[in-house]
Formats: sequence, C-alpha cells, structure tokens
Amino acid sequence: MASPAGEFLLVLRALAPLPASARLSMVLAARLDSAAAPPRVLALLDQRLGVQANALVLYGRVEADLRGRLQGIELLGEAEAAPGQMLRLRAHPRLVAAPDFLDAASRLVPGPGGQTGALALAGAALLRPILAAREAAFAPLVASAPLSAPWPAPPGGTPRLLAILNADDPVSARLFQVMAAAFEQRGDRLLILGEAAEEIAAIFMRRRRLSVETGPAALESLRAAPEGVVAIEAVRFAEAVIADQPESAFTQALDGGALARLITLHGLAGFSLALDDSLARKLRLDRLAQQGRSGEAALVPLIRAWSSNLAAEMVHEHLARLWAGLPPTEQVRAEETRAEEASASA
Amino acid sequence: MRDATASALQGGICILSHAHPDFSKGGGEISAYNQFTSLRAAGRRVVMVSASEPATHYATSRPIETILQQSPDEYFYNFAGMTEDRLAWADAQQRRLLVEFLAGLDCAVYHLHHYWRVGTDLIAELMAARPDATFVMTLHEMLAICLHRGQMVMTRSRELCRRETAMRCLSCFPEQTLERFAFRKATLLETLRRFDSLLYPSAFIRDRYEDWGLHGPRAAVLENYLGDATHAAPRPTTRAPGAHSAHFGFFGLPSAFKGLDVLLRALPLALRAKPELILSIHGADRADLLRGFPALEPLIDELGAAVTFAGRYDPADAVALMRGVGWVIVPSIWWENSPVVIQEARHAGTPLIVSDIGGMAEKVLDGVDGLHFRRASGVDLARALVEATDPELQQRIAGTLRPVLGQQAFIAGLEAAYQPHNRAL
Repeated sequence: MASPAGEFLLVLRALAPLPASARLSMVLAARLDSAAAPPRVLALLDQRLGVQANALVLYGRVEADLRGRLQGIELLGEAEAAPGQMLRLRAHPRLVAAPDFLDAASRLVPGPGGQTGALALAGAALLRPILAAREAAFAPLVASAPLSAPWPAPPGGTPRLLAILNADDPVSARLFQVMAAAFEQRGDRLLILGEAAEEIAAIFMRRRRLSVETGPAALESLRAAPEGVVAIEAVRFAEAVIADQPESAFTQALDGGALARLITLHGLAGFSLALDDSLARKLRLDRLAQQGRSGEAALVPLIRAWSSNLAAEMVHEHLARLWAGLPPTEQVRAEETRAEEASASA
Repeated sequence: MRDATASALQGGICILSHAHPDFSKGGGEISAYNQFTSLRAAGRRVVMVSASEPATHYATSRPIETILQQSPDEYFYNFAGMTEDRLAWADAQQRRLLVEFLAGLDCAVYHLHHYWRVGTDLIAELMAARPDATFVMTLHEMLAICLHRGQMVMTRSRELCRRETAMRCLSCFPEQTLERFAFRKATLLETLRRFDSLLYPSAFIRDRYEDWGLHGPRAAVLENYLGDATHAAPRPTTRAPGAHSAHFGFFGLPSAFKGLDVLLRALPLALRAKPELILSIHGADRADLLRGFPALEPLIDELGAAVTFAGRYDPADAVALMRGVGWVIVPSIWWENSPVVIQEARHAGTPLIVSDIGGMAEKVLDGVDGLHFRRASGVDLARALVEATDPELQQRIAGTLRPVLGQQAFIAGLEAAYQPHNRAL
C-alpha cells in the first residue's frame, strides 16, 4: 500500500505464527516524473518493522521532495520468515488515504472482520511505532498552520473562485437552480465537487453566466488557485437559505497560502483521497471554533470497517493531533528514542 | 408608483393550477377554477393554465404539444417532463417552453394555486422572465412542509405532527437523509418567499407555514370561494324546526385520513341511545368503502338500514344534497386545511359535526356552526351524535351558522393581493 504522504507498507501474513527473529526488508523501484524516465531503485527512510503473531509489517517513507513524483512504483521485498527461509516479493502498491493505510498496518487477519482481545493488542503494537514515526516526521510540517484555528480572511478581498463541496445529492440541484443568481453575483468561476456535481453544473452551464468545472478538473483548479477560494458546503448553503441568510454561506474564504497549507495537511493526514473532504473538514473546524469548540473532538470520526476499535481510536487520535498542529507527545518521543537506539544497535 | 389594481387587472391575470376540475375534484383545483370563472364573469381579463393528467398520460406513449389550447382563455399543459415528485422539471427544454408561453401571456399577475406539478425551477425562471409582474400563490395544503403528502400525520403511528423538524421527518422517512430534508426545505421555502403575496384559505394553514419559516411576502387569509353557480342558489333562511335532526350525512371520498371508519365505529354506540339515527354516505358506495377498509364489512352488515350509501355525487349537487340531511359530519383524522365540504354545508344551512383540530375547528365554531368532537374518538363522536339528535339544538345551530365568503369580498381579497410589490430577485 502507498499513502499520499509518500509512505509505503508491505504486509506479509504467514499461515503459522512467526518467530521474533523473522525479517522483512524492502526497496522501491520507480520512475521519476515521467513514465518514460529510466527506473530507479530508492531506499525508504524511517523504516519500522513489526512482527506480531503471524504477520510481518514493514513501513517506510520516501524523501519529501519525491512525493507525488513517482510513477510505475514497485515494492521489492525480501523476507526471512524463519532462519534460512528466504522469500522474495514484488508488489504494486495501491494508493489509499491515511486511515486505510494505517489501519492496514494493524490488521493481522485479512478480511473485513474486526480484531478483538489479544489480536487487537497485537495489532496496536504494530501500529504504535508507525504512528510515532509519522508524528515525529509530520508534526513539525503542520505546526505552523494548525487547521483547528480559523485562518484570516484573504487580504486581497473575497476571491471570485467559488467551490461547492459535498454536492452529493441530486435533489440539491433544485436549490442551486433557484439560487443560481446568488453564485453568479459572487463569482466568475465555480468548482463543483461531489457525486451530483454534473447535475448541478448543467444548471450553471445552461445559464452561461460563470464558468463551471467538475471532477478531476475542478480538483486540479482547487489545487492551483493562488487567488484562493470561497468554499460553500452544499448542505450548509441549504441551512443558510432556510435561515434566510444565504449570504452567510459565502463567508468561508481561504487565500492561496491557506489553501497550500491545507493541501499539505491533506497529503499527510487527509481522511480521504479527495481534497474536498479535507476542505469540508477545515470549514467545519472553523465553524466549531467560532462556537468555542475546537481541537481533536471536533473531527468527525470516519465510519469504516476498522481492524479493531483500538486501532480506530489510535488512528483518529493521531490524525487529530496533526490537524490540531500539536507537537509529538512524550510517548511518541520515547517511541522514537527506542527506534533510534534499536537502529543504532543494529 | 403605478395605480396598482388598475394596472394589474388591465394587464390580465394568469391563473396557474396544478389540476383542473374536469379531471379531478380536489379543493385546490375547484377553487382555482371558481376564481377563474368568477373573475371572468366580473369582466376581468383572465387566463387559466392547468396541468393536465390526461395529456401527461398521453405524452408517455405518443407525441403531444406541451401546451394545448382548450378555449380562447383556457390552456392545459402536460407535465411528463417533471421529476417523479412533480416538484421540479427533469426536462429543461419542456420547462423552457412552458416558461416562454407563460411569460408571453403578458399578464400583470400570475396567481399560482400550487407548486406541485408547477415546479420550483419553473417558478424561479418565470419570475426572472417577468420581473415586472406580480406573483401570488394560494397555499391550499402543506406538501412543502411535510413529505407525507402534506398531511402532517406521522407515517407509522398516525399521530398528528405539530411541527416540522428534520429529525422528526427522518423518523417518518428513515430511508431519507437529513441533508435531503434540508435541500427540500430550502428550495421550497426560498421559492415561496419570493412571491409578492401569499393567500391562505385558513388561518390554520397560514400559521403552519409561518411556523415553518415562511415570512416575508404579504400574507392574507382568503377563504376559498364556492363559485358563482353555487352562490346563485340562495341559502335558505329558514328550515323546518329540527328538520332531519337524526339524519347525518358524510360527504367525500372514503380515504384513510377522512375518518369514515371512526364515524362507522361511533354509530353503534350512538344507536344504543338513539335507534332512529340514520347515516347517509355520499361520495362512495359500499364496495368503494370496503376496498379501503375491508375489516369494516361485519360492522356495516350489523348497522343494516342505519347506513345508506348514496354513491358518487356531482360537486354541483353538493349543497342541495346537504340540505337533505340534518347534520354534515367531517370526522377527518388529519388536520384538513379548509375543507370545501364545510363551506358547502354552511351555505346549505346545515350544521356540522367536526373533529376538533386544524381547519375544521377553525371553520366550524363549536356551538355556532356545529359541534366538535375529539379527533379520532369514536366514543366522543357518539356523544356528539346523540346530542345532535335534539331538534332544538339542531334548529338553534342552523340559525347561527355563519355565511360563507361571497363574490364581492372574494374579489376584493384578490385585488388586495394583486397590488404590485418591489420584488428583489
């Protein structure tokens, strides 16, 4: 598996319990920037190997400047499950969001079922050093712009780029049909993100008063928006209309710098691969901060088939800390010290 | 500022209705049509445009024009291009054709009698196309507020619902989402807020819409008008003392919310005290009733000659039929916004017995126009039936029944609503 943060995970599960001496190593083969470039073998940094029950889990990360540049990635692994039993592996990693990536690291038993009791504890033991490595590496990158506090309004005035987020329900198109003029008065370009984006886009395209983008093109425009964006969550817009204050839905603006910081955080701690999910979470945090509620508790837990409740708690806590821009905990620092000592003695 | 009323009426009035009495007999479409004929008879330039079920059905199998002219000032449109819930248009081309037609009518007033089968998107486009016109909506029922056919009755328990909240709606429709309720409410609320005037046929329904959040447009209660033809037959000023005081009439279709089952269950209890009591059911025959309420068959057999089924009736005959009974009973278990039956009975000079809620309680003052009983309570209805057989009581209430809205007051109410507004689009 691969994560948007340039992380890789190789998991090997055996039919029988593995000895503590079991070993797994990996390197990465990939092309840089272009599929036509020659393949290169890259070492992974900050590797963490875990052996629990019948699973071997190896985590590693590429240099930050290689993130997003790798193509045709293959993981090349070598395992020694028992003394003298060598096994070579080759895998094409699948890109998944941070929660899926981290949960996979704690899953000892394949399949959708949850782990309880000793299995959950063993899974947590695999996950803990990986979370510590992530926090140590990533927390400094996001500490300067904690997402849990509202960012100031763009200095150049309200951007004319609008983005409708979470436009997932086709029924919402009726509201945007009735309220189209409110968008046309406030923007020149409209990005629509969500499962019903096409239905909503058709309304604005028919009226021909602002340019509209959906899907990957809209996401790309969002990533490359130096002027910033006014983000409007579809359902919050409905609530603003019900309150007879539609203008209040157009007040959450992020300038280009803030957007860039959000994109960085999204790459490290996004709950989904889609950028609009992180943007919607950011807007929600801002709203809650205005109500005097902020911090870890404000992050909406992700509903998915977690390997265990314990893993879910650990991953949520870890992601929430990154979103809050908090420094690594004492526990993380101790974990890191242990990892460094182990690495030195090896 | 222009001379509002003169401008509005000289420019013509377009009545846009979700249905036409030629094809269905709902209170809203009857009211819209009565308004059309009354304004026309009063010398106003008025055009009626109605959604047509037959044309829509036809459109599913054969090509048909979107707009069909019925007479020089009457048109039908098919709504085959609308979404399944008939609150918006899936076919933008058909919507555009209809908007262009309506905008081209060059009317100064557009008076809508529903948003259902008209579409929030069409309304927004028509308002944008005719910013100079005055837009008026009569809200006959509560579909905007309640997904349960506007009944405001809980889907599972059939308890009355007194206030819309997304969470309450979710308990009635667990397959829906909170987000969808928000989108639905925002769309309908915003559409209705843009009207210049809102007319409500009862204070009850006005209060419901205002509780829901509908404020802004000019609002007035204007009772539905029974029509010139009905008013042409004068209301009797005297009745034979206590005429038919033990003869009760039910008028309407035996749908689940009309409470005919409550009435039939009350009847045996009342018959024990007053064996001479008779119930005539107008609007259904025995088979119609048993299709909806098969469990009532033994009860109907047991009631024997105390119940007669008069079958379907022409609404034009309603007032005359009501004059043949001592009391008209409206036992609905839902709110009823402004039942035409009540006005017809009052115009007929026949006292009423009604459920003590909503539009029924408002339109029938207890002890003045009739008697109230506790909604859905067969025992309390039996008590009212027994009480009503007293000839003196029947005569007294027949003497205090209030008259219904006349043509002059109705047109004056419309003209007040048609005053132009400065509308911000």
